Formats: sequence, C-alpha cells, structure tokens
Amino acid sequence: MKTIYIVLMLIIAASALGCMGKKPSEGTTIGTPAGTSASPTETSVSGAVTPTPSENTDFGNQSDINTIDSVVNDSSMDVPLSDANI
Amino acid sequence: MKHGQRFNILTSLVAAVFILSLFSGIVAAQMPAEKNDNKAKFESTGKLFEGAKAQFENALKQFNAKNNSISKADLVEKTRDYLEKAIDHVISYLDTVKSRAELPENKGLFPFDASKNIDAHIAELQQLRTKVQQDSTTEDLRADNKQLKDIYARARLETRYDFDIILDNSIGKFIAKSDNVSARMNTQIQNFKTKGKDTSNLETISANFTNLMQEVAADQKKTEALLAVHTGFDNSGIVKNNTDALAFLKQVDDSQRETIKIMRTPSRQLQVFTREYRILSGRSNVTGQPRNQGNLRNGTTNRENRRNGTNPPTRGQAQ
Repeated sequence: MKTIYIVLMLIIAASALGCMGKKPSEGTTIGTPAGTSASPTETSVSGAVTPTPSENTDFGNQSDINTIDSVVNDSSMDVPLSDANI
Repeated sequence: MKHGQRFNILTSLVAAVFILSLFSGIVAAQMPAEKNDNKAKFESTGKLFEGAKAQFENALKQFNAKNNSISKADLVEKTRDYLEKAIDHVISYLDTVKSRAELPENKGLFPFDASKNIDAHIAELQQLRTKVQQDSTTEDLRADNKQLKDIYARARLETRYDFDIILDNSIGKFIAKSDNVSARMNTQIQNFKTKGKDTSNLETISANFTNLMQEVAADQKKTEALLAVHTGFDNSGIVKNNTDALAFLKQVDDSQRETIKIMRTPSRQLQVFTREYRILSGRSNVTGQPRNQGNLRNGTTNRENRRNGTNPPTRGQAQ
C-alpha cells in the first residue's frame, strides 16, 4: 500500500515538473495586409525566415528571428477604409 | 532519521512541487492572455468594422440608384455607423501599435515619443467620433469621412515608421549576437579537433555563416542610413509630407525585406551547424547525411549558388 502511494506521488511530481516547462503558443499573424492609399506597398516577409522549432538551440539566436517575424507580422496590420465617397 | 519521517518529508516535498507547478501554470496562462488582449480587440473591432463598411457601401449604392428620402435617411444612418466602427477599429490598431512600442525591450528605442504621437491621434479620433454622433447630413458626414481618412493616413505612416525602427533594432540585435555565435562555433570546432574528430563540415559552415553575416551587416547599414534621414518625417516622428513619407517608408521596407531575405541563409547555416554539432557530440540519433552535404563538400556556398541562379533571387530580382 505504501509502495503504491509512493509511486502515485512520484507520478504527480513528474507531471508537475513537466507542466512547469511548458509555455502556451502565441499567435502572431493578425489582420490582412490590404493596402490603403496611405500605406506603402506591402509584401509579407514573414515567409523569408522560417525557423525549425525542433532545432537550433545550442548556438541559437532563434528568439531574435522569432521577434523579427512577429514585428513583420504586426507591421502588416491595416484598416482598409472604404474608398466609396458619400 | 526514521522511515516514517522520511516518508512524511517526501510527501510534503511532492505536494509543494505540485502546488508550485499549478502556480506557474496560472502565471504562464495569464501572460499571453494579457499580451494578446490588444490583438483580440483588433480582431473583434475588425469584424464589426467590415460589417458596417459593407452596409454603408450597399446603402450608398441604393441611394445613388434611387436618390429618394428613404434611401438618403438609410445612407446617413449607415454612414454614421460605418464611421463609428471605423474609428473604433483604427483606435484598436493604434492601441496595438502603442503596446508594441511600450514593450520593455523597446524602451529608449525611439528618438522621439512614439506613445505621445499615437495618443494624439487617438484623441483626434475620439473628438471625431463625438462629431460623427452629432452630424445628421450627408455633407457633414462627408467631411467626417474625409477627416477620418486624413487622420488614419498620417497615423498609419507614423506607426509604419515606428515599426521600421523596431524592426531595425531587432535585426541589429541579431547581427550583434552573430559575433558571439561565431565565436562559440569556433570554440566547439577547436574542442572537436582536440578530440580528433573531423571538423571540415563544421568549419565550412562556420565560415559561410560568418561571411553571410558580414553581408547582412553591410545591408543593414543601408537601412540605417535611410532611417537617419527619415524623409517626410520631422525629428518628433510626425509626418510632415505624406508623399515623401510614403516614398521613404517604401525604400526602408524594400531594404529591410532584402536584409531579412539574406538573413534566411545564415539562419539555415546555423541550423545545419547545430545538427552536425549534435551528431559529432553524440547528442543526436540522426545517422544519415545532413542536408546540403553536397554543397558543403564541394565547397560551394549558398551565396555562390544564389549568384548562379540556383537559390532564391537577390536584390533587384522579382520574387
């Protein structure tokens, strides 16, 4: 009985430690890069740098690449006002 | 220590770890929720905006077709609703940009007060919303629509400039860290050499990475030269000429796009190096040949392949 209890506690501890390392994924793509007359011609560059999530942690500047991707995605946000004139 | 005491201590420790993990999970769940609030709001105002825009454009078509009092009244109502929803959506956009500009990593980045500029536009929009709610003629609403377009045009140019500065800083950080990355790569190569391992692949990749990062750094300087002049914007980051500002931003966009495209190659080189490093250090289960092995062995680099037309296009070429 005591052995079963110890095993259960170890399982709980193991799952708890596993939970501590996880971070929810964060979406970065938003809006549609529709141009207005006030915005520069935009072509998405987010595809230019596509990191492989499972690699590149030993020498990585992967976080910088992810930041750049995120900024590029955000910069394409736009409000496509109507061209119709009253 | 008695067996029973050990057991109690173990139980207490496990319980404490479990409780701590719950806490860290809650904190981790909250952080992205806060960060994504503005984006969620932008999406939400966007849906309302698109719906109101469609109704406005339809009402305008009906008025142009029928030109009677009923269609005119409907047009006034739909125009007012469209303008209000548009103002809400633009404010939501500005809030999102402002939150990005105020991130801790962007503190002190701007040579002007970006938040203040954004707040000024938000105040203009809020004043305009009050006017829209009071206006009841097509002439007044036409003027409101024109004013909204003017405010958004200026705000969009200025926030694009803000984004370019943030992106320039992010690219600069990537470049700055590459020196350290090169040094670490060389250290590991030396370590493997002292252990008698074949480091020829690693040396080729490391050399390619260093050369490409020099190219990235040189390209980045062109963007920085443009940003130093900031044609069309004054020193406070406020647009003074829409046409000049638009042309300037297009040049910066093109330059940064090119830099990021070039960065793709050393980024991949780093991934290849990491794979090779893990194989040599016995930290990988991969037993097959890594990708690009042919390029590494025959000495050609991705840069050379790009010039030969076998890689993605460079500056001046269509995508």
